Amino acid sequence: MPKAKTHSRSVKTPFPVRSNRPGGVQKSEPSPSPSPLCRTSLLDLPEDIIRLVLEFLPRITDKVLLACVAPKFRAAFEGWARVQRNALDMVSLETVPLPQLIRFFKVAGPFIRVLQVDCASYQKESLLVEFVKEYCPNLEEISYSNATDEFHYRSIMSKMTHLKRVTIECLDAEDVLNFDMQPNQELEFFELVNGCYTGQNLCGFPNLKTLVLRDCLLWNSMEFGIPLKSLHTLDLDDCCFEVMNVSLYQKIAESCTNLVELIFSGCDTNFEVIANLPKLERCTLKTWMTSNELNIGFLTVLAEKRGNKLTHLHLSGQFNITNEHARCLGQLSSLTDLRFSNNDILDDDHFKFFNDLSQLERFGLTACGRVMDVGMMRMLRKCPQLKVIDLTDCEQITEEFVIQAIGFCSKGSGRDVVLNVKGTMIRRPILTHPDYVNSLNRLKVNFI
Amino acid sequence: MPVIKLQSSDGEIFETDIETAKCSSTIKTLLEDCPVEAENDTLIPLPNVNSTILKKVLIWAKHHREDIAEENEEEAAKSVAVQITPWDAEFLSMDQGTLFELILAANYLDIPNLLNAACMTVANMIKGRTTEEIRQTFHITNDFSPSEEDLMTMESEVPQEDEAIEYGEII
Repeated sequence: MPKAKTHSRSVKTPFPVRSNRPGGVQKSEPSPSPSPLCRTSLLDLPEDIIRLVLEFLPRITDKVLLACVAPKFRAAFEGWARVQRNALDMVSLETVPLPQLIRFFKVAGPFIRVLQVDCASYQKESLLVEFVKEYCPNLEEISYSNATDEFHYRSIMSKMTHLKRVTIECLDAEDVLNFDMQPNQELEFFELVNGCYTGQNLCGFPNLKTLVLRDCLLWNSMEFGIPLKSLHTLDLDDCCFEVMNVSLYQKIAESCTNLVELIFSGCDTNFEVIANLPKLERCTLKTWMTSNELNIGFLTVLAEKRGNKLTHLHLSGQFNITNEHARCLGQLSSLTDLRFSNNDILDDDHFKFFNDLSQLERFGLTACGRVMDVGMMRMLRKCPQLKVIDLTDCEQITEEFVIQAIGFCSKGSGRDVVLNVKGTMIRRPILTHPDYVNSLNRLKVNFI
Repeated sequence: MPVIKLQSSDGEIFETDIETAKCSSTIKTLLEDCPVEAENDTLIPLPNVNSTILKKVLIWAKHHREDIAEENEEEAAKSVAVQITPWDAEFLSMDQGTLFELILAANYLDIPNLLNAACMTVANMIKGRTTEEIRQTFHITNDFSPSEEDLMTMESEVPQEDEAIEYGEII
């Protein structure tokens, strides 16, 4: 391979090279080797390359062990860690001996932003709580899993001051969970799954924007103790209210003046007050327990306001949709996204009433077994802005709809439409149909 | 196919085809920035890469020429989920000094895939080892000052596990 020297044009090498590197590694300037004999050591690698090596160490504990080898690696680790959103899984520290544990927290603690805690592993609970309190002042998020009535590691929350997000997933918590997050006035997001809840722990957080309670038992006795005014998103999904009364809907309607998104299981008597929320943009309603009532008052009030600010509406489950419901839905002209899922009551005739959905861009049907080609063509004709139709698991939709839709879209309307047809009667050979491969076709079919 | 000449820091000249050489973004940029009439007659000095290492880089580049040609630039820009192929693993099983020189060369020549594979090889040598074992593996003396060392390992200020504080109910 080596060649004898020849006289030839020489290109002057720019030195040092200063181009941006993939993966954020800047070009380094290694000093030229005086001889082919290699005496370079790990310590001779520039800091940006050490950072790249750190990227390839999957566990933060390994990164810290390297950081403790020499000051240069410590500096590289700190440079790397400063720009990461570092997460620490507490389980990974269960078997670490005490001296290494101390070292780990001293080196990595200030850079840990997210803590993942499996409450089922609590051998070193008090020790780890103390270390987190001492060395992780910048912790912003805690995610608990397998919480029980004992709720191990809960005291971390009371020792932190900058938490923004807390998620608690319970294994089996039948008693009301006991915890204190009060010092964390910056809290923005709280989620509780499969737990028991009174609301008392969430009073007085002025920045709380998102509250998610899933599969929870809610004790709504006197006060629904949440700073509702600041909420942007409220998700009460499959929650069982121990004292179910009118005041909950009323309280949400009166207090959640900034609510933008509501996810709620149940839409029965007295739910109409929710329609008065002034800023509501996205609403997901699910059937609850034995009730499949879709409160007509709620839809009527919204229809009178032409939907107000509501852009996304998702109705999930066997809601008992009548022509009257359909007429109201058809007047929500603010909607850009309307979806139904798991509903065998909705049928083609209901779409006759969808006369004023002039802004609708996305229409979704998932597992709506009675909807057929006729109804879908009706939607396409009535909604001039419709760009995406999701028909996942709608078993009655056939290739006839695709052929008709191609003709409709390539004629007068001249618009691009995407159909998602997984789980319908439409099969892949449609992609080779002459109308589909025609250059005038504006319709795209996805089987994903 | 046009051929170019690369001159190592110790004066040795290597001839290689342009496609292989262009796996280095540094060389590629040089060729674009300094257009030459007779491409076949181009000599590019590489003052930061000695002949031993340059030879290895060219072996690697020749083997990977196809995947580099196919590689979408957008993909290359993303931080790569690197997997070391058996060929690369064999190629990179060399003494530490040479491996580090190769890393420096890959960085200087801007060959991301080689740099990533070599750095991952180093990471695999580190993974699962204690600090002391890493020092032994890479022949590094502990040059933390006593105060820095203390700062990282002072045990006296932390309760031992058996005397750790227990927390009662939080009201």
